[in-house]
Amino acid sequence: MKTPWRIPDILDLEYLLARDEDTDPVVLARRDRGLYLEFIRPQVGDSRPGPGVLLYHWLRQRRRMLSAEGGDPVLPGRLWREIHGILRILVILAGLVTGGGLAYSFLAYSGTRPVNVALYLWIFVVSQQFLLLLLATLAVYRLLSGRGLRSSLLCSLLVRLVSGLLVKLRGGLLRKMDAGERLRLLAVLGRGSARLRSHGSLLLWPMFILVQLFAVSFNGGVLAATLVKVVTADVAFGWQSTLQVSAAAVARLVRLIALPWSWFVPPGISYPSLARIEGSRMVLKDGIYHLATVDLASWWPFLCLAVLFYGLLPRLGLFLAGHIGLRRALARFSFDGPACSRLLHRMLTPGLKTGGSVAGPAGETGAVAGEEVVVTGERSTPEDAPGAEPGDAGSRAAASGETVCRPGPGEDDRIPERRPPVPGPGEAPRPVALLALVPDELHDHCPASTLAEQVMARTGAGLAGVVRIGEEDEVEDETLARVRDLYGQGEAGGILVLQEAWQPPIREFLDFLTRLRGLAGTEGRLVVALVGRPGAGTIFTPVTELNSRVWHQSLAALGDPGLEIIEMVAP
Amino acid sequence: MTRAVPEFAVIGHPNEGKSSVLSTLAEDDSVRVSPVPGETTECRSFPVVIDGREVIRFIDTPGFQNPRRVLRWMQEYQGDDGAMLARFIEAHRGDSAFHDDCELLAPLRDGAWVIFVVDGSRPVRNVDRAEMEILRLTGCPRMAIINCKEDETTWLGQWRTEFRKHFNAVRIFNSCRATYVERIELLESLKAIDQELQEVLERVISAFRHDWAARNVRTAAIITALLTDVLSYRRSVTLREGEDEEGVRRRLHDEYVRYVEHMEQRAQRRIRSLFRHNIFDCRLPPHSILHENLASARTWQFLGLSARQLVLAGAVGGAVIGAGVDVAAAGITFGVFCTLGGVLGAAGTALHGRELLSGARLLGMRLVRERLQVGPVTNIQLLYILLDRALLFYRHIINWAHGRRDYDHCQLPDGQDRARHGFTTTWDRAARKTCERFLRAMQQEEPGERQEAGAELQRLLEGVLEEISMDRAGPGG
Repeated sequence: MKTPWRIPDILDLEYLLARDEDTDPVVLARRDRGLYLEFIRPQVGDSRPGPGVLLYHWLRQRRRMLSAEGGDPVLPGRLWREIHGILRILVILAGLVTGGGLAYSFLAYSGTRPVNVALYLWIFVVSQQFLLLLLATLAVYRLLSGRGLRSSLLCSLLVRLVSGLLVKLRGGLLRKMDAGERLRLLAVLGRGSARLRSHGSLLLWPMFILVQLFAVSFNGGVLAATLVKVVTADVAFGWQSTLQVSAAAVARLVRLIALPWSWFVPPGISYPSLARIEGSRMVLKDGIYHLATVDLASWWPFLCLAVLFYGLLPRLGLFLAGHIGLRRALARFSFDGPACSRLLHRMLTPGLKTGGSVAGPAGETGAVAGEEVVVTGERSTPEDAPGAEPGDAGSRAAASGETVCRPGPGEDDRIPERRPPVPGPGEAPRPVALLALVPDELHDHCPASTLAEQVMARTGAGLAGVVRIGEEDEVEDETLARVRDLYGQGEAGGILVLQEAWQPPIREFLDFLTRLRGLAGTEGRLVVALVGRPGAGTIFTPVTELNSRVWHQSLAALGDPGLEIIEMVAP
Repeated sequence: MTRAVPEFAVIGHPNEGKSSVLSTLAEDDSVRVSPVPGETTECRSFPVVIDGREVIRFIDTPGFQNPRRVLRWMQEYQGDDGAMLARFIEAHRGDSAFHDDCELLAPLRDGAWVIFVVDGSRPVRNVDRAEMEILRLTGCPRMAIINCKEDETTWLGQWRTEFRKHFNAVRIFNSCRATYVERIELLESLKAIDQELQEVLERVISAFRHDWAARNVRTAAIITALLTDVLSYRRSVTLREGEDEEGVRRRLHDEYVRYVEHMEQRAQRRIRSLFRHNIFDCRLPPHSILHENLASARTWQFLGLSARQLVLAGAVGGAVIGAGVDVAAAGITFGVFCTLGGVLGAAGTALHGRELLSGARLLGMRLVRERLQVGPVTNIQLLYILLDRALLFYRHIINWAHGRRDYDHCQLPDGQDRARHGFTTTWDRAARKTCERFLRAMQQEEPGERQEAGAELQRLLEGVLEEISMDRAGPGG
């Protein structure tokens, strides 16, 4: 099923997902699972839709819920539509006014000096051609270098601007700010940079379209003003040159320029004849009285056609190309981000409750009636997750009973655990197993079963292995080499780093994360799992609000759009 | 390499309370302290100047940002040990990722002694061991301070064990609760870092003690001046024909209460500034004596004054007090009148509320030939109340560490229950006699006696303030 995603929809989705960040995960899980079962599954049936379709349905339901809760909610998508609509009108008006005004004033003729044809062509045609040529060169460069619009000049300029600003801020202003303000600012800049990286093309296409709209209006204004002037006033066109250029040479140039239309427009109109060109040559010392009116008036159709074919039509073409590009960018838009993954996981994972309970009405548990899977012994597979893709490592492990925690160099093998079941009959995003990196100090206090449960509950992913990191005598490069080896074995689709949130996020760790991103690639998941201060018998203790904020801001400042942050608390 | 002025660099992991320790030690509340890590990004000097000459200097530094990398570099370093830090800084100066590390190591390169600060309420981690190893490799003389940011003590043993391997001396110092005595003790323990520091630190400690004693003398003078002003207050107003005498009495009463409050606040500001508190202001808990109205029933209860005591006290002061007055009950019953009654010892009139305004004395208020005269105060209770308030304020101010920034959680160290009694209730007969003499002197016009009584009271207060600073006196012990 094809989804009609538009920019306002994506903005609304982002907004609603961001709003959910502060909501209790249990509440979210209940709400989203409920939405899926009640509204989305009946609509999609067994069609095995992709994440885009599921998310689109979710978005519609969330909008409906918000409307029901608080009347007509002002979502960013609506704001975008309205602002974009106003901008389009303003841009059209600005184009018409500047183009029309420029041409009208240029064509002022008092009977003493005819309008210079060369100058007209130079201002209204050649300059535009130059800009188009620049655009084409950049497009060809991007095409040849195999880089998409994300690496466009504007995009890279913006990224460079942001990073330059950061460097300057670090050096000066940032040091004057207190730590809280500094961290907030860096987080905002980092989030902006991440957004630019992930949504760069989506944000740039509308700008591209607006620019083309302006250019179309500008050319329209030029054409309209020229025609109005020709119809309502006596305008004389002529040409001149200090160089001894012959009329024949000018005629050859004019014919060359007129090639795009001369094959279907009659010769007298498509371009002036040699005689007319000869007759419209101006020699300032002789004045213009001896020149024939018919010669002086022979240029305007050629000029109008030049503006039409070299200005208006290419811009119209680019305008349409912009729309096609936007549509393709929307179609290509990836919903693999952490927030989307978590949402999909919430929708597709049945509510799971373990342990005994007093028999009572199903509704009392707060879960969606009839959907809760009560497990008393072995973990069961969710009812709507009967199988998995054949090639998936998780399914292989689940089927064969293979243990997921393989001992790596320098780690023990005391914590084997079954890979958790894979949710969804192909409708969920492919679940990836994560390679967990556990700090030396926590490793011996981190039962694999608890870790696996926590990882599954919060990321929807299984464990591909556990690696002990940060040992006293090991340096970062060695750690990374070990991680690379294990990751390269192909079992893991992402990396999870366990981190105590009470420890401040120091540069060394943040750089380590950046290097892990390089190792996992842009497609691989990278998760930072925060835990609190070690408590009685467990390391999975709650993270304080302050520590959570500090870590979220520090990691946001990295500008990695795919970096996930979760908090692990033992029940 | 040792500098002419000994330097102590306060070093540690980010967010361990380095700035807070320094802020408390240097009594400087302008130091930026925050629960968010990374507050300090540049070194900041805190010189100790005696007689216009800098004798030692403390340096606040940023926290380690790359402890493992720094340690690795040092372990792989092959050159001259003495030049190691300089080489490190030279090699990493242009790298913004190492800005903080270069900044914090710069004082060590220049020969500073090291005070390594850790938060003892958290467990030891490998990065901490890396930092300790870095300090060992630098060869700088060093001591460790365990600054428990929270009340958690589970990890203290672990920290002590680790520190024994790396440091010359270890001291627990809570930068948010440290008192004057603990600050002096910390300075004393700095001597253990290096024998050559003994002499200079002796001078510093001696200067700190003298300075503290001088502040106590000035505080005693401020309190004595406050009592002199309040107790010798006099005012007279001519009653015009047909003027409401009750209204005038009320107005005079209000004016006096405002005057007392104003003078007291002025004295408190002076004491606050004397102890270098620019941000912290004594905002006390609602059940504390200091938050109570100067004369409310609760204040009486707080001071532990029974009805009988009040009667006796009032009698000493020469106030008119009805026998067997239940002051607290009267205070609650008579509201505004009790307020004044509490302040001015008009408990007797409180019992006979109607008589308050027509009574012969209130605040020494009397009508003489159409002139309503107010003051001087005749009730010694006001003196005791003001004294207790001033001493409580003093104790709170000196015990609020400069590195402590949770002003919203400002609480008296003692709960209300513990502090049922004012300081003066425990005073002996001689001290009370000094107070009585002072009150009598305030009622007299003779300047000589006033001066002598004032000086006697001030001497008494100096001793009391010293006791409070040493935590040997005060309500609840």
